[in-house]
Amino acid sequence: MFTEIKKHFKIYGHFLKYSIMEQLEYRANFILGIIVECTWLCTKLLYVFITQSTGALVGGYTPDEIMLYVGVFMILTALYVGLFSWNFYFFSWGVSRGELDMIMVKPVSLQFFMTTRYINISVPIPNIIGGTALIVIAWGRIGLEASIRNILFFILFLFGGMVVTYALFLIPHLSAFWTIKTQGITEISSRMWDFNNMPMQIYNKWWQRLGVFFIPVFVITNFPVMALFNNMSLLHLIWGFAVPAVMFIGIRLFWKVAISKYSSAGG
Amino acid sequence: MAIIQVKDLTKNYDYYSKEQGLKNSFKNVFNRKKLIKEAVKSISFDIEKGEIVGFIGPNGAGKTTTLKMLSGIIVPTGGSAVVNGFKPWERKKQFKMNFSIVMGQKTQLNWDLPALETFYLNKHIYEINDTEFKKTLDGLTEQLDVADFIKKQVRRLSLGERMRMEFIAALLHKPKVLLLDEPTIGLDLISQRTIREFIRNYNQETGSTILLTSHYMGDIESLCKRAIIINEGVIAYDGELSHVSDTINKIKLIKVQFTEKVPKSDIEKFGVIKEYDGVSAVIEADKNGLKECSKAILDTLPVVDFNIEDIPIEEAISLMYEKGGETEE
Repeated sequence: MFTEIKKHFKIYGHFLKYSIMEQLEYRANFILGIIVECTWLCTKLLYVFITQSTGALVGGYTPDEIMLYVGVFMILTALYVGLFSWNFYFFSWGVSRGELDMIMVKPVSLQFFMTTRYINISVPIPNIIGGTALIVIAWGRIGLEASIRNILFFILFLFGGMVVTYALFLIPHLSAFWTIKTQGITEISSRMWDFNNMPMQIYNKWWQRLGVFFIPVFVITNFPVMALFNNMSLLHLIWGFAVPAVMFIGIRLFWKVAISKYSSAGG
Repeated sequence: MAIIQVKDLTKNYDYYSKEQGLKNSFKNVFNRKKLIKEAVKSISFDIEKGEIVGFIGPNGAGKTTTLKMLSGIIVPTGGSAVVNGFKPWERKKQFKMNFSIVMGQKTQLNWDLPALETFYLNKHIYEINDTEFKKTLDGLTEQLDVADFIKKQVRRLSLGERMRMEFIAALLHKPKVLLLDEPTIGLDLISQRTIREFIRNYNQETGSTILLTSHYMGDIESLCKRAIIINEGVIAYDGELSHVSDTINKIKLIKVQFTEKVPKSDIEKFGVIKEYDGVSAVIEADKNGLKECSKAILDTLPVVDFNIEDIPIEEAISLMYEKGGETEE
């Protein structure tokens, strides 16, 4: 088990190296990617500027708390786009053309290979820089204590958010094994990501429950921030630790069902 | 005991038919007629360790589907197969560690990077130690004569160069069973010969078992003693290749192009006309009189282009049946 984990980490190191090498081969595209993402970053920063200039509370959050929230959203966006989304969008294309054939025959986890092999470098760079800057600034302005508890909870829920993101946003793409083309359903999932760009407290209770317990999209960005502000109920706290494990086991089982439907292509 | 055992292996695919036109596309949204294609129909065969077997048949006969089942890519509808002691579609690690597949129309190489990078990735995937990796890579690089372009981006390689790289990527872990699906498709004659010689030497040196599909009889004839012919999903023949070769080689197709229009009557005397449009023709000629026939065509007709080819495998299969049920199975 340990040997297999070590092997997969080594392979992931190669994926990272090859992704950087591949993207640097096309340097104009790489630089353009960073420029385009910087413009998107500006639109995200608008939320911060507006709340800072008006002093308005959003869902009970002060402008500085919103700044921290947007920072977390940026970092999770960077991780989602950088680590997973390229791979997820390859699914439909790969399934329809039988491109999984040559990967399936390798002695390595197919789910791991298919969902992690491309790492986008250009898009996350502005988001990581921007997001980290916002978090650091907001952290200081709010006067949050840089205690081990705060940092640990923040990192744990950030990691949990990443696991939930992986599982939740992979599900629609796996429908490619049945439907081949997945634009319709994946478009819904892309829009779902935007539910994260504002605190869940702006929605009514029923929507909050739906987004936390049924389709746990609110868990992703809200929980790391709520953990820092110490305003999580016990139920949320337990769910915050449980939901990444539940989602990961769920996606693993769903993957196994989905892959059994693979029919390759061309003979 | 046979290293590949196939018993009543069957694969059905679901598909939908659609009539031509937009109206029928709308109809199809609400009502689709589900059809089942029986790609492989209860086939059985065994392959012994160290054998090279040619798996031949026309397009859509079920060759690639069979290879995909034997490599665990797709799950069969029925029947069983054991490859090197494993059920392929269970996709066990030990099974994958000891087999490999090369598909002429698919790649495992990273398009944007030199093939060497894929080799290093495979080193980790197949858990090959540094010494063994270097030794095997050096050996394969020398045998396939790829030292000059091993560091060149894959997308800049010719098809022949790329196929040689595919072989290295597939053989670094020294598989006991090698499945080759049209490995020479689209290659020029020199590249085809290089690949053939390599496969033959590899089999002799390692004793690996090879199942090879190819449209080129040249590949099969130069490598295999045994052939399995599959047609419309069923095994039409399993036995000595020489028997198939005799049938296929008995008749040749002469493809000629003329500089000006030639009457059909002037061509008929050379053999059976299979195709004719005035300025080109395909003539079926007996192999025994091929030399004389070719000379006469070149001497008497205004020929601008001239080619001699094998008859298609579909026709060879029909001919074998016409000769009277000579199937050994």
